[in-house]
Amino acid sequence: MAGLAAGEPALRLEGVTKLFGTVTAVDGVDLAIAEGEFFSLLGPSGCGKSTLLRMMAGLESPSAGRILIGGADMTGTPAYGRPVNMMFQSYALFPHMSVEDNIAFGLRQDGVKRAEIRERVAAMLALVQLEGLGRRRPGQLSGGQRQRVALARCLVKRPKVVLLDEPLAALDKRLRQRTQFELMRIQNEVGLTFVMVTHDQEEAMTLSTRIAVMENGRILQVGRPRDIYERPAGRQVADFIGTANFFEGTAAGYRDGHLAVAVEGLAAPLLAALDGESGDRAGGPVTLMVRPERIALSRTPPAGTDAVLTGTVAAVAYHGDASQYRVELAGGRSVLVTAANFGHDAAAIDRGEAVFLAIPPSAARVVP
Amino acid sequence: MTAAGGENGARMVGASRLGLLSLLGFGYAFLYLPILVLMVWSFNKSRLVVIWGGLSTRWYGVLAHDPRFLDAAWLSLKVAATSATLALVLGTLAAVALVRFGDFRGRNLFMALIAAPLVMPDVIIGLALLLMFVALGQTVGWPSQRGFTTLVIAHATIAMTYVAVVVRARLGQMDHSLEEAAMDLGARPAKAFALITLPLLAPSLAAGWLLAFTLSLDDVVVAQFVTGPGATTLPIEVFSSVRMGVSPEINALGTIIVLVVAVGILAAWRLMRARA
Ligand SMILES: Nc1ncnc2c1ncn2[C@@H]1O[C@H](COP(=O)(O)OP(=O)(O)OP(=O)(O)O)[C@@H](O)[C@H]1O
Ligand SMILES: [Mg+2]
Repeated sequence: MAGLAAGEPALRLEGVTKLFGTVTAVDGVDLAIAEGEFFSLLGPSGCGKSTLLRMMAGLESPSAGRILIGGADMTGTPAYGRPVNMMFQSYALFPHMSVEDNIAFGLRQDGVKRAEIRERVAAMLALVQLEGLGRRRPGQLSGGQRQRVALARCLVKRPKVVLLDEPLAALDKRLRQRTQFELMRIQNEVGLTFVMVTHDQEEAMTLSTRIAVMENGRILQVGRPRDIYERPAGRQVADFIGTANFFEGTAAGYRDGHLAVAVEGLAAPLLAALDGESGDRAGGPVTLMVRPERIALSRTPPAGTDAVLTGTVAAVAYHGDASQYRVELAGGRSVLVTAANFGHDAAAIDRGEAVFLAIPPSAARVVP
Repeated sequence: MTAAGGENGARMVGASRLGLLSLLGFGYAFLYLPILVLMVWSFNKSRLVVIWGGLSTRWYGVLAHDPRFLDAAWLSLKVAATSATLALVLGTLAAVALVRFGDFRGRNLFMALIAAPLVMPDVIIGLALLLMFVALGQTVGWPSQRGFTTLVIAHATIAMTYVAVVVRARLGQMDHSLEEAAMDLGARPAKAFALITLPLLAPSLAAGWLLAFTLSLDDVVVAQFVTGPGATTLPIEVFSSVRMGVSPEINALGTIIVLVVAVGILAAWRLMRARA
């Protein structure tokens, strides 16, 4: 874009903090979001996601820190002066205006010419597949249609950053999945930078180029979905994104390019991937994380060098495509295992059966 | 519970419903019978108020040519319209301040203070206003005399409370993110208020204005205190002429007032319900 220094992020936050009285809603957040990204703020309810988004929009002013949009400091610029547009969780459609007038509202504020407004509104209606509904009032639309009007309204001005506050939360599950793909298509087509707030980790993983995981107003980790899932920066992140088994133990030494960890109650040491780590951990305490789908479940002892554990199936949850098993190990510890249901041996495993668990070396990760 | 007990219960519910209905009927008769009587008598041909002389609209004709009542009616309408407009502006500002300026210190106190005049006796309000006008007249020389201006100020003072209550209720229900969305899309705060909040508030504003208008139109007590020579409102005129004896002309006037007020209240009520 004109006037932008090369490589300048679309949005940059520096030490942004927000206090509400004595409550710290957002606590020293640093972020740089590149142009064209689909960036998600993910975290549990009350962690400060919406507050952070509202500060980006200019609807809330930070207690400390700086907000730069396209390289320009906009910390003190009010909402109406910022080149960003927000889609509200409640959609906030103007009930006394038609769909067209809702979408045209932003352009009218900028004094865009009538003919151009008509053209751009029509293009937006086509983009969100609402042609022919432009004359309706928001009250005459379904929830899914309203959601698309709200999206069109915040895209039509082609803002530098599009802010979405839980854009899919009000939709039912099926529609939400379909709309996820819609949202990806639309972002691809318009090529704008998106920042989305969500508490749904699947949604964040599906849509985002990068995710920031938040808790208590702080950012715990920023990374691509795969990195966050496979290399969580801590136990909180691992727990929040998907399900995880944790093993605490002592590093026993290095073996075949892996870290061997002795875990109390387990006969064999667990082998963990090193991830290019170079320091010597031998003798120190280590927490390992193993995702449930990385553990192999069988009735007969598996061959190979995997760490093998034995236990009893305590519970089975059938999900159709896969099943989740809770296996109690000899030492009283329980482990979650997910196995696909495509007719192999595992599909028939029932509660109370004795089973073997195999954990391949690359499955276990050291959690910092 | 047994089946028999259930049947018994149903019969008791039926009986108590009948009782409730008759109570309701009695209540409404109590409220509206006197007005109905007045309306019927206004079509009495006879000059004597309590002797039926046949159906006629004669007294409506007499009324239409009586300058006393016409002047008073014109003054009352002017006072009502002006004071309702003033009350609308002041009451709306108060409501916006109370709802939008967050949890400022003493907000609850202000809320209570806004509602208090609703239950204050008119005599007290009238007396207080009179004392204030007299004191003002003596110290700053304004208002130099009592009449139209003091009537408008007094009625606006009373009615702005009602306006504030009506508008505040609607504003409190409104999603604040609508205004935020307008600002996010580039509208300055004043424009966002004018383009989004005001139109959505319009039914309540109209209701508030009509309420204020009717309140002013039928006030006697406060007007007695704050008006002066040469500025007699319709209710005062009616009141003083009744003391000379009830004439059929008054019945006709009363019927017209009842209709105007009823239409006003009904419209206000419908507007308040609309889009709520
Ligand atoms: N206007 C406000 N006044 C006081 N406290 C507030 C205000 N807005 C938010 N908070 C507090 O700040 C914290 C973060 O709120 P925020 O709305 O950002 O959470 P969130 O992550 O969006 O949660 P959710 O997923 O439930 O929407 C909460 O503890 C909340 O109570
Ligand atoms: Mg939120």
